[in-house]
Amino acid sequence: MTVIEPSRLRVPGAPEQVALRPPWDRRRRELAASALVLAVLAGWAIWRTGIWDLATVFGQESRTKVANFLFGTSLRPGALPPRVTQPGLLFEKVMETFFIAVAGTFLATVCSVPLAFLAARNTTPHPVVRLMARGLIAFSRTVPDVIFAFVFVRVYRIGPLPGILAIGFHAIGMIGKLMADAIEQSDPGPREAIAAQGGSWLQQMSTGVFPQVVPSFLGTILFRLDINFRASTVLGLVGAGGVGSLFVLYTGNLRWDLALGVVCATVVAVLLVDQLSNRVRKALLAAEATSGRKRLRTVALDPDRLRPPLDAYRKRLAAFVVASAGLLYASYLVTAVSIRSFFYGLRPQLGAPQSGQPPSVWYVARRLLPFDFDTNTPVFDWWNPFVRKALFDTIATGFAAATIGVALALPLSYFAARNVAPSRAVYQSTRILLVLARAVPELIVAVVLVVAMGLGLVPGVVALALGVVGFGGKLFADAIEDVPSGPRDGVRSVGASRLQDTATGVTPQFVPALVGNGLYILDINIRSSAVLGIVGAGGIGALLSNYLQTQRFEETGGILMVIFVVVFVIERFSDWLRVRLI
Amino acid sequence: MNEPAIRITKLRKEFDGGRVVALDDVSFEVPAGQLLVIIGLSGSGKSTLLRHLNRLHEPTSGQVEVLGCDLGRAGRSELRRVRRDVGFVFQQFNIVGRLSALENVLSGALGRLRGPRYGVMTYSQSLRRQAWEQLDRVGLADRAFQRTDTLSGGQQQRVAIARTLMQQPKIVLADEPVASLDPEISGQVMEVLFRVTSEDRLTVVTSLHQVELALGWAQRMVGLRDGKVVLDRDAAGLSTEEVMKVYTRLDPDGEKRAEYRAVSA
Repeated sequence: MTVIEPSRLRVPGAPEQVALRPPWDRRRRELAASALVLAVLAGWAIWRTGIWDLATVFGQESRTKVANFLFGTSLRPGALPPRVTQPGLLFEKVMETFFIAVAGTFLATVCSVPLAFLAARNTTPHPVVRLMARGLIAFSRTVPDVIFAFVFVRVYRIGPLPGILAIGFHAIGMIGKLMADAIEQSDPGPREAIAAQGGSWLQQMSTGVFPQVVPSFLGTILFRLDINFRASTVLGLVGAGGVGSLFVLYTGNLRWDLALGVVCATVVAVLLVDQLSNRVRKALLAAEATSGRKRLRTVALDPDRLRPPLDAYRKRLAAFVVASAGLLYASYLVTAVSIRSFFYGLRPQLGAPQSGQPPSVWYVARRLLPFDFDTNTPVFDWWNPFVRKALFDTIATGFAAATIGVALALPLSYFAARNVAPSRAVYQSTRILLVLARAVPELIVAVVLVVAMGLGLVPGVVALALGVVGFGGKLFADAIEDVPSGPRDGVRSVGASRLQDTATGVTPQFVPALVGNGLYILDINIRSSAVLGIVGAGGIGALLSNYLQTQRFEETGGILMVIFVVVFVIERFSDWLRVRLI
Repeated sequence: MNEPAIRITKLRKEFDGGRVVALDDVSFEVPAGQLLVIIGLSGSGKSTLLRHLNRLHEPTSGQVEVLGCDLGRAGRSELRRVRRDVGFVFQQFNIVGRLSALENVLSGALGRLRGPRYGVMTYSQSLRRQAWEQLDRVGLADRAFQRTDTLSGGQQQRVAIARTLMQQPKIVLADEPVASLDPEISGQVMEVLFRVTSEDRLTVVTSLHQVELALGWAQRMVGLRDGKVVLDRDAAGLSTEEVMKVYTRLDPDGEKRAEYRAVSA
């Protein structure tokens, strides 16, 4: 209990004596400085990427290029209309993509559950263990899945296996983090009760903590399956299997009509999986929330055969577990991964492989450290002009895309929020628009735009911004729908117009979510823009793929570290800013 | 067997590096089978004392012996063995809200079992039957498969009592078990607790705010004020006035005020 000294309480003067504006205190100064820094960086990014120059972006020259791309020239066929000549193969590859996502999600879940218990403040055996677990989770979140795939392809060669590992390893970053957060928010009481009766640590976890987080875990896993499927569609671009490999095959032959057919099939599949995971998640969690609410008659219970009643939740959970096991086995069959070659990649061999042999994971991991162990000197000079330029290009691309995307998504999100949209028709059509914008993988948009618009940063910015419209629009709209209606009733009751209600009753409540999600989008975009270079859209990814293809692992690792640092700084900054806003 | 169930010797507990003294030179014994009620103001050290009896707190100095085991010297496995014989009923129930009543009661058997458990069906049928019988004793047999967060506060605490009984303890410690319940429900819950523990001839140490309830059931009462024992008598013949003295603040406007504030913070 703190006692406030009367002398420290400022007594407000009469209204005519004080200027009635918010006090210019430390928090406000920090917020203003952050806004200024972000605005300056956004301006710099838009200038550096060249996207500001709309006359060139939409000029005669680029219009011709796009027309040639779409309708073809005498030398090559156009992209329109999209065509599918090998439907069987296409279907096979889409299924392979799905099963890569399933196996990757499973792998990530299996790794994340123990990791989350080690990483949560209240369940970790030791602070050092917690720091290491949190570090590993942050690392796998920071490194884009495409880059993991790129590295794993060096070890496991082309095929679905590196894809599964990349998806799995990257997903630990999100699944592990959300699970650890859920554990930290759990009630310590039940666990204390088990400790107080002499239960072991494992029993405290299994019976005191785990039951509390089951619904959250289920939701997280199903949500991630959806994200993983989207991610799996582009892994083929770096040789890690799935429908992306077909896209690469067709674009290599300059058959853009076939490539566009693949894209259309991908979009349909993404929408289907989105629906699937959403419905399964809702069905499970809704049944969970109503499970066990009914009182059972004593006569219905046979004391010699006491078992929980088989209600909707238990039936659905059982179906979910059986279906997951079935899908996992199916993915083992469909992707035809070899468990033996997986373990062969893990063999304890730190040295260089014999000629003709693939290197071990450990060898590649060691070589990824930008350090020469023979001479004890750092290998990677991150301040050399190439790296510097590529790094700034990447940051600018991510920043510009986030800025433009958020600016476009924000007005849309008001139309896509059920409680604010002017009409049901507007709400539904905006939602469909957002879903479609989200369904096309950014990397594929980037490939298409690079061909259509030429090299440079602009295609990357446009591709990422389009993704932001879909993803950000959905996040913002959901946040607006979550706004409590109390303040709105207050504003409406004084006779405010619809617009005033939205401006005063809704927007102030939505601002913290807007800033939080906006910074999250910025963070994702800088990570994504680091990958764009792999498909020719400039930035640090171009260097990265160059180094990897020439087996210069040390430089690759150096670049990964630079990306890690940049993303880490942005994450810290957004945490810092969020605390000040709420 | 004349060995007391609990023996506390010169127990002292400081928080904040000695700035707050929660327990000051507390010594007493509890013979097996006694029902002892601890009374005192909020912050007088009741909870702290109870939590020492299970070593949920480490003493600053002094000794706590439970069932012949010196808790301060007990190793991990020995501590766990003692804890198996000591049930603890918490003020906030400490049950898992989304699990069924039966599953919460079953978790009381964990101390006797090896390995982690999750789900009713991971316990044997005979344990399930035992758990259901304990639920029956607290009057909740028909709620066995209901989620505990849909039960009322009094029912939830009865589930917690059944869980403690499931442990087959020798001692039951209860830390203000009815402090978050309304008066009528409090009476019902305490009655359940006292009835089942006397049926099983258990040693009970509980802290309680309701003096009337305490006088009705307790065999012995211990009063705490500022971490010191200020009352320790058989409950028979104890008058309400004598008990209420424990609750009067000493010189409420004098120099001790700062201390009261620190303790209650």
